Amino acid sequence: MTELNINVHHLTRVEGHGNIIVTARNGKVKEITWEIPESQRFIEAMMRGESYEDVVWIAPRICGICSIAHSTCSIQATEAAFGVQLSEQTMLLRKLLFNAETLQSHVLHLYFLAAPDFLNVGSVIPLVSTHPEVALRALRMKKLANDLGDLIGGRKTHPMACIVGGFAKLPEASQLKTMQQRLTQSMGDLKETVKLFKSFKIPDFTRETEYIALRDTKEYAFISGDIASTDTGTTPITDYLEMTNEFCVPHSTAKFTKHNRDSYMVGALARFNNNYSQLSSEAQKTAEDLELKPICHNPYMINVAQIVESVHVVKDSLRILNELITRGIKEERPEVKVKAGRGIGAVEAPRGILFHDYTYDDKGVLTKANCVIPTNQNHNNIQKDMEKLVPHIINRSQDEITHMLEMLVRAYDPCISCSTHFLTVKYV
Amino acid sequence: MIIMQYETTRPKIIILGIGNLLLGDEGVGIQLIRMLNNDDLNYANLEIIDGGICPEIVSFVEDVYKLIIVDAIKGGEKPGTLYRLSIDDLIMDPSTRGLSLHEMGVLDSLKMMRLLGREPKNTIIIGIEPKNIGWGLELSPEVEGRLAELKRMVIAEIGRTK
Repeated sequence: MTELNINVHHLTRVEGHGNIIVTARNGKVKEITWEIPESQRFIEAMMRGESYEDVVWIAPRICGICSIAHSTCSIQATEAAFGVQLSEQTMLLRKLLFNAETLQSHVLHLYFLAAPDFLNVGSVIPLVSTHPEVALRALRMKKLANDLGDLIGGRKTHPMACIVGGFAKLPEASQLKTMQQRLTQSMGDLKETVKLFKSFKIPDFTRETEYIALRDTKEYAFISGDIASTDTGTTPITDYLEMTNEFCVPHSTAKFTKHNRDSYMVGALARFNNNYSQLSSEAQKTAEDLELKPICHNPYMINVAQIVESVHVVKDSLRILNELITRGIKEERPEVKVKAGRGIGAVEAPRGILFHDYTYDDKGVLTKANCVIPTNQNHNNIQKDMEKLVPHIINRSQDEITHMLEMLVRAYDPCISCSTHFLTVKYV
Repeated sequence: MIIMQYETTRPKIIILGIGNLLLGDEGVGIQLIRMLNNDDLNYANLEIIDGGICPEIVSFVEDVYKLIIVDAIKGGEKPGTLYRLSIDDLIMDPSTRGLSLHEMGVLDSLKMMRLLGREPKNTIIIGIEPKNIGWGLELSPEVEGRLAELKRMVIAEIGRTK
């Protein structure tokens, strides 16, 4: 009799805590569970009763990695509630700031969290010893992204310059030009990143699922557009609850979601699958080079989609910087007229589509809030992936199965701290 | 990030606040650095960084002579107890593991800096024993009552570098 007992308690190299539990006997699977034991966060309750001016700084503190996403989404929800109109300059700066976060988050995940699996080192620490040039490249790219975030958002993390209606502080033309040069120079590091990941063997596994992401008719969407599904087409963000359908499961403190199928995926691969044609030509070439084509149903390829997006956001940032420099930065005074109402913000955080839904009274005090976090939307898809994957690899050693499952979860780049918090695996 | 002053005539100091402002006393490091300003810190080549809950700090810290980390520290003493630790207190002594609430992120970052030869000459962790780590924007009275002393400790650390 052969017994398989996998219990990965608090999976490492993910943000937060999650467990993987797999039990099998004589090749027959008894249990596969993706368990989220983190204590729940009460962000919405904390924001209730606060003025819109305070909600702006509370939201980015929800997460240290996607603070710009939470900040932007929160501000856009408030602007939707008050009916605030934005200038073109504000939208350009917001997109530029958002690109900074996408780049820094993808670099952090690719190099610090995912690469150690492919290079057979336990964490980023031994990677520094065995591959110092790789670690230094990662830090250069991360610093560049942090500095871009600092230039536009006023801080390296948890931006403070973004306010309802615009920006409290604007960059100078000379700073934009310097950043333009640095981003241009970074293309070499991006090429090396592509080369590195091209040398990795990505596990071959597919499971068809639904992919949900923002879609904008004008561009590869990060902070605008409707909700797109590879199954059902587009839906206005005001109807987001019809897409997310959150529900509770006994083994998770985080809510799970589903839409047209048992589960759906959000994040880099979902964006790629929905919006491939809007990627820059350089990003499309990168995808071709790394053998990523839409629609891709291999969740391990999320890592590759992140590289493609990294190339895209650098090229897009150069385009935006050029436009800002050509137009010239103009001082603007955001006009905000408080009124009672409900507003919904939706953005593509690095890990996927994020919703903030606020209701304000006529004094601008928040009376009701709901936040739907990307990682919550991926939990169910992770569970379904595991249910398909494990029977296929059940004859491998326990260590190999554990490694495959850990890599699978890491590919999703889960931020359980946001969704509630993180991951663990149990083999039984 | 707030650049208080920037010159190259003095060795560079970074004061890095760490913590989550939404978790009560856990955010004391951020509350503290928000109290610092130019009048208090008569030192050229100083950078004050709000590190928040960012999981890595290596990319923030480059060519630094002294790194002063301000954080909540769980040392088992009564709430409001102040601590001053060196990097070796965190890394070299296994009994102190788990002391700083953000130790893993900070420790991993410091280890990386050491391996890459980018470690500051001096790293000091200044902190305070928390009482309440739970959802809320307020500090406990025990911690709030020691903020002024905590601030003096940080300023004294700058003075030691002059």
